[in-house]
Order: sequence, then C-alpha cells, then structure tokens
Amino acid sequence: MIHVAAAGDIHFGPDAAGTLRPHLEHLGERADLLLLAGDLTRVGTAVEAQALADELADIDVPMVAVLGNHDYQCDQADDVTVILESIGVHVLEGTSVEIPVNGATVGVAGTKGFGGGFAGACGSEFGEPEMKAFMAHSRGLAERLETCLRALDTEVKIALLHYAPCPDTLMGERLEIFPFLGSHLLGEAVDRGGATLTLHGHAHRGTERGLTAGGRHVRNVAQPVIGHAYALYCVHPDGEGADPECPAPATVMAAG
Amino acid sequence: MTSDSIDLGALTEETRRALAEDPRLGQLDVIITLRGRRALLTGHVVTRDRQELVAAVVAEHLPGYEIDNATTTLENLPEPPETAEEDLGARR
Repeated sequence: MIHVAAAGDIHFGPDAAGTLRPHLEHLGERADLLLLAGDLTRVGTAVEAQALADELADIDVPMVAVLGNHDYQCDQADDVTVILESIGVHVLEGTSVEIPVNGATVGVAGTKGFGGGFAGACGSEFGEPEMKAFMAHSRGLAERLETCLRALDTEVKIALLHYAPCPDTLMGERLEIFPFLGSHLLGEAVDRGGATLTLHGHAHRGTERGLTAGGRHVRNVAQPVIGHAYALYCVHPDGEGADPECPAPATVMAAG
Repeated sequence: MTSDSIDLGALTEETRRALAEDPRLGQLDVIITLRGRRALLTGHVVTRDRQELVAAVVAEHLPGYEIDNATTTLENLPEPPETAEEDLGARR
C-alpha cells in the first residue's frame, strides 16, 4: 500500500514562517510521499518560495509539486521552481517522475492545468484570438498530461494538478466561475491516461471527493477544503482507480 | 435594477479587485457582502496579518462602511487525525 499525503493552496510567504513545519516533522511515519497541488505561494515571488523551501527542507519523504496560478502572478515561476527543486522537490509541468515506494513504483504526472469549463458548458477555440489562446493553452496542458500518464509504466499512477478535472470537487463554488476553476479536458486526460488517483486544488470552497466522467478518483486537497495541514490517502498498487460501477464517459455532442 | 444596486455591485467588484491585485495580498478568496453601511467579509486567509490587511484594504475602498471581518485564518492547520486516511481500495 502507498500512503500519500497531499495539500494544495498553501499560499505561503515569510509571514507564515514556522506555521507549517511543525505539522510535517513526523510525516515520514504517516506517509510515503508528499504531493503539493499548486498555489504554493501568495503571489509567486522568489522570497515567498524561499520561505516555503525553508519550511519543507529535510522533510523525510519524497516531495512532488505543481505550481498554481498564484505562483505565476509576479512572473517569477522559474525562480520558484528552481528554489523548490534546490531542496529536492520534484516540480512538474507537463512532466512526470517515478518514485519507488514499498517495493512498488509510483508515477506522478503533473501540470498546473487550466480552465475552460466542463461538458455541456465549456469554451472552444473559436472567435477572438484571446479566446482561442485561452482554450488552446488548456488543451495543450491536458494533452501533455495524457502523454505523461500513458508513458508511465508504474503500479500506481497519480495525476497532480492545480485546476480541477471534474465538476464534482467544485461543488460549493459558484457555478459562474466553474470555467475558471477547471476543464473537462483534464478529466479526459486522466481517464485516457489511466490515473489511479488525481489530486488538485484551486477551489477553496469546493468539495474533497469526486470522480472523473470515467469514474476515477479525484480529490480536492486545497487546505481550506481539507481543513488540515494535509490529507492522507491509501492507494493500492493493484487498484485500478476507477469505479467499475461507473459507466464509461458519455460522448458529448458539440453545440453549434 | 436600481441605480443603488448597480453602484453597490461596482463598489464590491472594485474592492474585490483591490484585494486580488494588492501585491501584499493577492487575495482571491474573500467574499464582500454590502448591506446598508456594513461590509461583511467572509472566506479564508492564511495568516492573521493578512486578515488584518484585508480589512485595511477594504476600509480604504469602502470609506464610511463598518467592516465586519468574519474571515477565518488557515494558520497552523493541524495534522489529520489517525482515522483520517482514506483507503481508495484495491482492484475489485
């Protein structure tokens, strides 16, 4: 069994120094790896990233992260990545990492993801260049996620995102902002790529548990949702991650 | 829709944008509800310092309003209890 600790939307900065570390000191006794689902900083400065790195340094489990929209705010995302990688965090964006755990191998494919909405109410690459660029960005990240998941030959596959891959875990948020919180394209990538578990953040008023259209486990680990420093999940290397009672994704006809 | 409600909507949005775009905050998760001359703030912020700063920024944009800061902080969130681990199950 693989014990996964996960959290998102930490929004860390120097003003929070010392508040996270005490709750992670003995993480290795409870979890085999720590996954961070984006919005690691308040506005994405190198100073904030360093404050978080100081907090996470020498944590006794492998750590994997994706960035979130907040981590891009000050155009220092590359610096944020380098600082976190300097303490051993695997920072993924359209990439993956394989980590040996308890005789099995866990593959984590990660991307920030992007918005666009969900089946029946999503955007398309039509009209103004800005709208095309918005949706093309979302599609490109989802396609890259699927490629990474398919390439993993591991007993457990985890998709690590910031934006949501399904509407279930957004319940509690206002419907009007769903298109800014996630994309069905991410859910399709998760289903086609065969993720055992998908973790995301971004939706602070959302719901922890959900399923993709194909019935794969999705968990919103934004700290305001989970109410703890991290959430814990037990994943079985022989598990499929899909609920066999859930029907295959329906084909959605595009509206005119 | 009355002109008053339009003004309140614009005022609310202007204040929300200020919270998001203030480089000291980057705060997207506060809901501002205006009722009479009171502004109710709800949502989550990470630290107590940011909680106070949110109220200060709102007060700058809503002069004359009484600020009811009902935001909650996420500072020092506890570890999950022993029973909190969710077993996602094996292949059935």
